[in-house]
Amino acid sequence: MSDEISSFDVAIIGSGPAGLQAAIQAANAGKSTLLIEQEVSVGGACVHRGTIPSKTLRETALSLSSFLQRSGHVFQVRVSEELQVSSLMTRMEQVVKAHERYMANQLATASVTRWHGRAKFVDAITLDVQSVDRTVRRVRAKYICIASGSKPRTPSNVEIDHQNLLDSDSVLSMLYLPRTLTVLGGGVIATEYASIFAALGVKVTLIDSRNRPLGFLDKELTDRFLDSFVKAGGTFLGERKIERAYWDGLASCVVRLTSGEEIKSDKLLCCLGRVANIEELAIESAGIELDELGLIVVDEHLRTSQPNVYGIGDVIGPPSLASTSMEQGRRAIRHAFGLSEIEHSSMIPMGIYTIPEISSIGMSEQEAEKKFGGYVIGRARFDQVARGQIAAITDGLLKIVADPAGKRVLGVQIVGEGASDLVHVGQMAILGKLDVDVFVNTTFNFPTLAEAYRIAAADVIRQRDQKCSDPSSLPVGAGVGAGAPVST
Amino acid sequence: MGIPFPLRAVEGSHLDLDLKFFVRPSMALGANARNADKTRMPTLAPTPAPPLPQPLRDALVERIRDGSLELPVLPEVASRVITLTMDDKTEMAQLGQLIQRDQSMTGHLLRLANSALYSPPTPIVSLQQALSRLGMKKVREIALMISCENRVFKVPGFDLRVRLAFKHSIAAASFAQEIARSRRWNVEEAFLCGMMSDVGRPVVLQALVDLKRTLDVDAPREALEAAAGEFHCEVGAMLVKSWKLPARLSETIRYHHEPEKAPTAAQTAMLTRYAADFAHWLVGPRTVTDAELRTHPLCVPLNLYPDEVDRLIAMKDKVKAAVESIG
Repeated sequence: MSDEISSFDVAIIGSGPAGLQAAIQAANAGKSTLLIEQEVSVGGACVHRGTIPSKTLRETALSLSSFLQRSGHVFQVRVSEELQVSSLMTRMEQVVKAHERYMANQLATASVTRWHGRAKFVDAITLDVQSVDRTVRRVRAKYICIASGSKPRTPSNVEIDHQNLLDSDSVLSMLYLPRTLTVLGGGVIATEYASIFAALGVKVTLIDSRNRPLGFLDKELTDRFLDSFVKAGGTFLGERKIERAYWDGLASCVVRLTSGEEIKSDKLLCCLGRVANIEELAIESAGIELDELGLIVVDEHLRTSQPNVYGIGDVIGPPSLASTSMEQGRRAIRHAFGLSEIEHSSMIPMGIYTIPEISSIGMSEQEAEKKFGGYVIGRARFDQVARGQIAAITDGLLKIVADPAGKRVLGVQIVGEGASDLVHVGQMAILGKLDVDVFVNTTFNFPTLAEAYRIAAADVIRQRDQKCSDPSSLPVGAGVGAGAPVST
Repeated sequence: MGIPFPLRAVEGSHLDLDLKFFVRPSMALGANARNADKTRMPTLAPTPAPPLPQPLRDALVERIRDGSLELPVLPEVASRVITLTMDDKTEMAQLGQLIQRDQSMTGHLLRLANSALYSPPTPIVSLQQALSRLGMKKVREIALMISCENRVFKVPGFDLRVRLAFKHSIAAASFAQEIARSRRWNVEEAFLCGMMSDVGRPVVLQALVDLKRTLDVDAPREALEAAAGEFHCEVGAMLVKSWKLPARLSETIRYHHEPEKAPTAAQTAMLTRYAADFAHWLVGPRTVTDAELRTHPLCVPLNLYPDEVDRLIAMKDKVKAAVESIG
């Protein structure tokens, strides 16, 4: 190890969305900034193993299913078993490179120093960074941000070998599409991959311990998702407990359930949660406290139990969204250096890139009920929208959650293609504290899916008007859950 | 990117890699780029092989260039097995009937299915059992392995050398899959790349033995072996192409001694090359030390940290068992 000790105002471990944002924020504030990344290039799992690659594969799957739908299934298109998965992601390298280039430029412009290696705490202000070539450099920093992200959890009863039983880090290394795939889990990653592979013609079985996937979401949305998944040939097995998942030695992945059922498939994907990626950091040397799940404990300013060390992104646990992580990176640095806080909305949209997409912002029905004692729901099915019919996106649904008076927009939930973009219209309405009427009194482009806002708002207004003219026409607890669920 | 001294696939020069060819601008983070020269491997001083007589060399080069080099034909049964296993309409019974007609193939398949390489939980005693347990893709992999063993790795007069090369291939395949597993890359593809990486070596050797006879030219064994080393990438790639195996495999074999030149498969070419050095370390024929593996210049572009290399080194006995069970 070199005797030389480098010195920085701040050292950031990890260059995913949280670390990158923290580095740029600090450097732009004139602080000497070191960014340490163990992978060859910056971006973290988000760019190399997660969001970007999976979304690129998703676009291909989506193009295929959209093509079939929009052409009215007059063409016979089938994905060959011999088709390489990599050829379904031919654009991936281009996309990743473009992203890398953009991030590298940002870091260079901000004069951030980058080191390639693995960081290890010596004490709360000192890190040793080991390079792949075995050289070790020591660095001292006034502040340290841990932004090393998360990695897939490997339960002991699921024998992951990254060849037949895969996790979300290795799933895209598959050369060929399997004929059958078992996906364990019912969270975001599990449902995204399950629906992508089902759209590519793989027979997918999704197994979860709960009675429906994405249990934290509105039931109407998950019902729509499950309908589409089953139509694409998928099977959902809910309320199942895994006894053991293993490779039988030669031909199949086997999942033995406590119910006695046995599910066999060519490949298996385990998505049973993620854990903080802090194994290599020796954080015990810095005396940083962890919770019972192994996540870094932070206060409201994102400080760990060592006040000069901050925890940001997936290492501190949910919501584990790239958008939230970036915001945490920014906040941690502003707090560390006493920079004035810019007023920033804490409202974060959620985007789930299943096929079809799911997105939500603001309050759910349950949250509105809790806060206001009631709510009014306005619904618009995408088959009521001209663009939905034209683009054959008829299985979508947009819900507006309004206050009990049927005026103020409290939340928006959407399932259907374009949901993650469409939700931002609702986000602006909530931030602007607008009434639902704005959607009816404003002209949108025609034909677009945004028209769904107008239809859902009109549904809210209809119920509001009905309530005003005949209060007795509404059930007891007026306004609560008004409007019957739209039949599918 | 300029290539001042391209790597030559000559025995003894394996570790003389120039790190900077593999370091992309985005990889040049601080010390890695700066210390590139410090991490360069000590070059083994090869004993210079006697030169290949010019007429022999010219005849070999001409045959490689004009595509007239005699390449081992994939045995008919193996060829049909490969075709059948690539067709998703094929029934296992159909495959069984075909393999059953070839006693040697049946015997080899059972032997390999029971070997440490595939470590079945219970012994496989019948062809039907082997087929249903192995699945189409494994049967294809084994058919290829058997074809290589029987048709390619057999050069009269060089039996021991070629046998060792076959063992080397199995070791390279085993290490390649472990490197891929560690990096979360495709394990099956890596196995195949390792297994086929040196397939050109015995083919060149056989060609030279035949040419020596035809041209009535004498040449020392060492010269033939050195030439086999020199041309094995090119010829191996030709063979794999003629067997209609994936283009990416052919590219990997072609460039595994000069990965920086691979148009699309630089990553698998680097992986295959590093795995081949692990195979040399385990079974030879070249001597590679633990220290050389630990400070190998390809660790940087493959992003293999010291603990990961140590884990690979610790797999010595497991891989050795797999090699012995086949060789």
